[in-house]
Amino acid sequence: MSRTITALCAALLAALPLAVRAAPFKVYSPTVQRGVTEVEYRGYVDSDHRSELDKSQQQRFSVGYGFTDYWFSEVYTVYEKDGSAPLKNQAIEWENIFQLTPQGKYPVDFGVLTEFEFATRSGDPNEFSLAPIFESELGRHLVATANLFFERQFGGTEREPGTTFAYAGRLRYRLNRYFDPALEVFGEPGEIGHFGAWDGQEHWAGPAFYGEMRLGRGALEYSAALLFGTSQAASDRRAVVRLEYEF
Amino acid sequence: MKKLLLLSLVIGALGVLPGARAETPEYALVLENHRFVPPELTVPAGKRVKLVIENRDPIPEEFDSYDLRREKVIAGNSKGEVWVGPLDPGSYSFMGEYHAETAKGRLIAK
Repeated sequence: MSRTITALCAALLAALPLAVRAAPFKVYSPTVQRGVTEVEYRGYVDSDHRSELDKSQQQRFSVGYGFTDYWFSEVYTVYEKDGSAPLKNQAIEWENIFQLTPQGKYPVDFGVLTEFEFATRSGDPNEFSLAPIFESELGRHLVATANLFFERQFGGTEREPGTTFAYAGRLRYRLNRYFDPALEVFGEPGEIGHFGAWDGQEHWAGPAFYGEMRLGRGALEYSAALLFGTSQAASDRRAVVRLEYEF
Repeated sequence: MKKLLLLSLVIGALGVLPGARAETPEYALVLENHRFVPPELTVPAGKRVKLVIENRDPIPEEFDSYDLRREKVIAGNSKGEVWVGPLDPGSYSFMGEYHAETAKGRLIAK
């Protein structure tokens, strides 16, 4: 029975347009810095007992700039592949973070992320995402962050109907500048109102760490996570690396 | 979707409203010749406070504190505001990231 369910989930995943599978794997903070330029790389590699998911990966490169104290804008190029297929350019994304409360002024910092994803391959859907961002300090060492993504596809020939919900969350322990341990959760339950069974949704959770060091004129921020799929549709494991150089 | 968006807004409002009612004590810091004056500032523990940082140098500086979890770029000849706390009693270091050799300071919460 479980083999049947697994095969069904894999078949469903394979049938979905790629953009639908772009569950977040970064937890955004609502705080932005005016006048700061950021060069970023982040990527993940999946490992899974199903050959069509094993070695799936996504690689992103971006350049961003903080135009004001409350607006940071970033442009990404996104490469993605399924299983053993070759890595291909999937999309260009334009992302904006709007900091809506001064950091630390209220018990919860609040911001909004908007993201326009333009598919580079003919027939793939474009996507618009809107995500409220919350962050709160819990005492001297703990910081909790939550992102709630509302995604809608447009254009293309195989777009998902309705609005899709995804989430990202993190509990980070402030240990020292070079190494903060964290716990992260990510997931994409699916179309709002039609989430379906847990095993048909994508959910991951796992340990992570964050750190930063000064490098040249700026600072290198690094983090990595090892996520474990907690539903059948999610890959068994997802290894994530994130690097940001700010100057 | 409407319910989830509404929930997001309510959570945001709950975070904002309690702080908006409270009076926030202000403390002044000056940045001149790439040094903080005073280099040590005492603030009350257990209260949210606002640091008003005046950068009298002609070039930008980034107020940076891992201990306080704050980063704020302040343009030359201008002021910036940084909210911190409520802090546990103790010592919290900060610096100017662009001139880390000289721009150093410490916040004492007690």
